[in-house]
Amino acid sequence: MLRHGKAILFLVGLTTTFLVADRSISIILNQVVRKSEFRFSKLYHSHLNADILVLGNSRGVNGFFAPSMETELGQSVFNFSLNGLDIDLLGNALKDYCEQNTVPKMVILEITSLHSDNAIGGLRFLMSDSPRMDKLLKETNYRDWVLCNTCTVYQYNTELFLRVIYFLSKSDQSWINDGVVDPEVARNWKVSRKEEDLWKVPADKKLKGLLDLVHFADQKKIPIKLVIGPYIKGYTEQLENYQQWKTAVQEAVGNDHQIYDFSNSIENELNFADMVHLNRSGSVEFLQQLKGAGFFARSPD
Amino acid sequence: MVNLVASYIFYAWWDWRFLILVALLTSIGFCAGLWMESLLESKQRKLPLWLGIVGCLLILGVFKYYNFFIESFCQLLGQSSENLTITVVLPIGISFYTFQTISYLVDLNRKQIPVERSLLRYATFLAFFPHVVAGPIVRAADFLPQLHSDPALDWNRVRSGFRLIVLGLVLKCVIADSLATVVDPCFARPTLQKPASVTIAVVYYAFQIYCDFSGYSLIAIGLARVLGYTFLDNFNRPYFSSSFSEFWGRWHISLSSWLRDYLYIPLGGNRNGTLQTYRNLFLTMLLGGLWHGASWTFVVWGALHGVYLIVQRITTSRIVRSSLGTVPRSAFRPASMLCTFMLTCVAWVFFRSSSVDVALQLLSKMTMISSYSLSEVGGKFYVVKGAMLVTFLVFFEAISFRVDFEKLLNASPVLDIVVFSTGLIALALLGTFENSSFIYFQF
Repeated sequence: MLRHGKAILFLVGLTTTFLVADRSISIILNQVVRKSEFRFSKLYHSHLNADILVLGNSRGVNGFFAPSMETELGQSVFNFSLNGLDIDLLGNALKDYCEQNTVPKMVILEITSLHSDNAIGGLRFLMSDSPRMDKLLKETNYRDWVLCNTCTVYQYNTELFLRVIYFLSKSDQSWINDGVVDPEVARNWKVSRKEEDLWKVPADKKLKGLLDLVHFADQKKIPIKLVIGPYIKGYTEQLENYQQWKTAVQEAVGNDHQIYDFSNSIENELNFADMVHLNRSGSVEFLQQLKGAGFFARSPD
Repeated sequence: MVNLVASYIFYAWWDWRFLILVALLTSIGFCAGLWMESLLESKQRKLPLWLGIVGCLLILGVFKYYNFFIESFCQLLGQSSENLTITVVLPIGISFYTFQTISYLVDLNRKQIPVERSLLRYATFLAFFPHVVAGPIVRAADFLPQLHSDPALDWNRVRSGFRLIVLGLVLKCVIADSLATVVDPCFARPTLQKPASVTIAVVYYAFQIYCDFSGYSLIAIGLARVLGYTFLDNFNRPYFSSSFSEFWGRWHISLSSWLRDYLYIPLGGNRNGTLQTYRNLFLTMLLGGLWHGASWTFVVWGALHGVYLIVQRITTSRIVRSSLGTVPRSAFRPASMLCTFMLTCVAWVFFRSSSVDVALQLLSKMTMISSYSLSEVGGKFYVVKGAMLVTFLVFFEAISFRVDFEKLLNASPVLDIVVFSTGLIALALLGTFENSSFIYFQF
């Protein structure tokens, strides 16, 4: 026979200890998020008031190097791009930003974020800072949302929280890939089926997310520039659906918003960290191209 | 009865059709056992013994090894094997319950155990859900007697069982799966890897597979303990081994002891001279490698361990004879442990790689020590997280040589609550919960 009394006492003790420890650790970890210089910590816990905002996925991180842009353009730049960020999360970030800061003079959106499907997964520790992020997590990953509310330390179980710790005392705006792709690997590169699948016409839900973001910018009278950053030479030529994809996105946003296609603009493979990401020197080269093309001119598209 | 029904439902959850296979192996073992029992002379008992063993191996051969041997044979002859191979799914746990059937029959023949006359009990022994998919390989002598009486539920047993389950989950979800994020990309795209990344991935794999499998074993042992049964330990801090014979006494103990008792010793063990001993060691490890999977990578892994054991025997006997034999053995222990670990890692490269060519390619990268550069290591956050977890594991295991945690926690429920809570929070904070299964499910 089970000795019920001992068992019940043990379980009550365990539940209480667990809940107290869980909530206490969460409070400490939340303080870490607040103190960090990580870009999304800054979004919710300081006033940025940047002139130019950059939104995107990992290609946004490596294509738009904020320190160089600030020097070249003489304006403050903040890059909210992160690996795997999708369009819904970027839309939320822009809305939350505009509620807490002065409206930026320009938003740059690297539209290959439409490929990302990560939603809020890695940034679930933001759910306590933003009702929008909380709602997004609930809608896209209900299991995680329940887990995060039951066991709050689970919010911090992501790679991005490790980055939060890493950027505790230094800005992450100078984070960029310094690697250089192996030229031989680059020359022999063939687009994989998985890669090709990314370029299927985006799902309506994705396009709706993009439209929502663009309309929000329009309402706030923020010039928004839609860009496809550089890929390694020959990359887009190998894609069957590239033009169809671009046309579908252009049709969705309408002719008021031009898509700036720089996918083939950089020839030298030494400017790439891999097939789809620029490196530090590549981002500098890209910036010169953007400037040369009058990309940063204030006039509406 | 409840255990059997639960076990069959558990197995059928994966694929109900393979329950027929479990039932077939159960029938073979049970009937051969009864037949052996009905025969008085030991010579006569050989017939049901061998029929039972051959029956088991035939089933294992068809499902696990047929395609491998046909393809290898055709490759040797330069022929196509396309029309000769069969499309067959490897039934989960087949290697484990086949070995259990064989050991039951051999033990019966050796008169080390009595025959089991209840089909219900025998079927439960073979298919008991905690061990059916990935072990530990449970011996009839250890488990069947436990099925003869209803286990008494004891709170302390339940508590310690759940503690093992939580510890197993921490090993699997926190350590093994975190290390997998560094290991998997390296073995998936070996050509793109830098030398330092390969070495890190290989060392991490050594800990990944250890935590993955020992984690599963702890969950199985814990589940059995909660239900009132006892399984023997399957791992005992293997990377603290200072020799390969010690390693195999600490790693996957239920398999290594099975190979020793049912293969190495019947082959002659170390009774027939040095060369025969070496042959027996090599054959045992080679077949042990093949047991893991029908691939040359597993064969090479087993062969390497066979060679390690032989070389260890040669060098140990020479050291003992030489002047170094006067130096206390403990003086060599740290260096021996490091050496054993490094050579084990080399063997793991074959175990994990998709082909022998890939393994050789990775090993050649590992030797480019002058090209090691930490700046080129990808996924640094996961590498750092992995390093912290591995350090914690090694530290914890080192302490466990001096402190009996089990005894300590059984004696103090308050401390137990703290440890439970820490384990659960570690799971929530550091666990990886993607769709990853246990590595040993494939065997």
